[in-house]
Amino acid sequence: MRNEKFAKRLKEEREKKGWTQEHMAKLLNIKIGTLSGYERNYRTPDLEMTSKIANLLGVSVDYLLGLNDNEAAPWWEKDTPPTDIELDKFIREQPNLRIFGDPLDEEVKDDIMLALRAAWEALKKERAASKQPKGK
Amino acid sequence: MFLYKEARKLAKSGEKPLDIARSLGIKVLFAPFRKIKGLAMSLGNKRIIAINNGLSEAEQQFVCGHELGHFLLHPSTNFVFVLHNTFSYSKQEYQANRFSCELILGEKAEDYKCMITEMAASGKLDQLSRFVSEISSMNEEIP
Repeated sequence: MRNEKFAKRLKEEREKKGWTQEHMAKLLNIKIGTLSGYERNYRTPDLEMTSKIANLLGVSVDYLLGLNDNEAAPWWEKDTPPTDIELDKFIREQPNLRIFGDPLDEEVKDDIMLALRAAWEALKKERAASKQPKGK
Repeated sequence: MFLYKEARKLAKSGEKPLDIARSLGIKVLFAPFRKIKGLAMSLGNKRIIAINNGLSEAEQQFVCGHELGHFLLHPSTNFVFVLHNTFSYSKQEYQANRFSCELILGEKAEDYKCMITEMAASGKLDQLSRFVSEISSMNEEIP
């Protein structure tokens, strides 16, 4: 199934990261031609690769596929504070958030939640500042 | 290795890791963590470093350099955090420690190569941060 939006967003998000196709293909462990095919909407990745791409780019699969545009923004781009459930889900999706492969202990998890909330706040402030008309 | 050279190049500006991170467009936040020393995360295209505000100045600089090392050395890992006892548990942690040493010491790192390698591998935050801050504040004329 071809998906114009997916192709476009993939390219956009890759460029936002400042990655070349070659670099990103290496990170995904695929050939550059395959990635280029995705971006030109010549071919589409399977489910596994789709979620791998979303994870790597730090966006939701929904957003990549162009589903639910209203909900496309991840929690850190929304103006409403993230809920515990959202953050919990985010943490569980991070492949590196384990200690020696063990689940996080509660104190560490609290710390991470704190960091995520602080990050959300800082990014919100930054958005508000960039929306201010210049020269005022 | 290329990236350690990069660290020395960044060190040439004379700035400390906190300022270097900011000048690279990375947000630096401080939070009253209970266990975590520092944390690096990529949220979309935003890169953020959060540092425990209970650490000494030297420790904060070191942790910042360490997290910066993760961003530059391991761009595909989008979330890492540091606890005292996991400071050296992997090759990546070792590399980030070494990066931070090179970043803080700049050219001086050359004279202390062996010590840096050893300290980065043992990876105790208090030792590492004391070590680099003492050397970096030493005068140039070493006998």
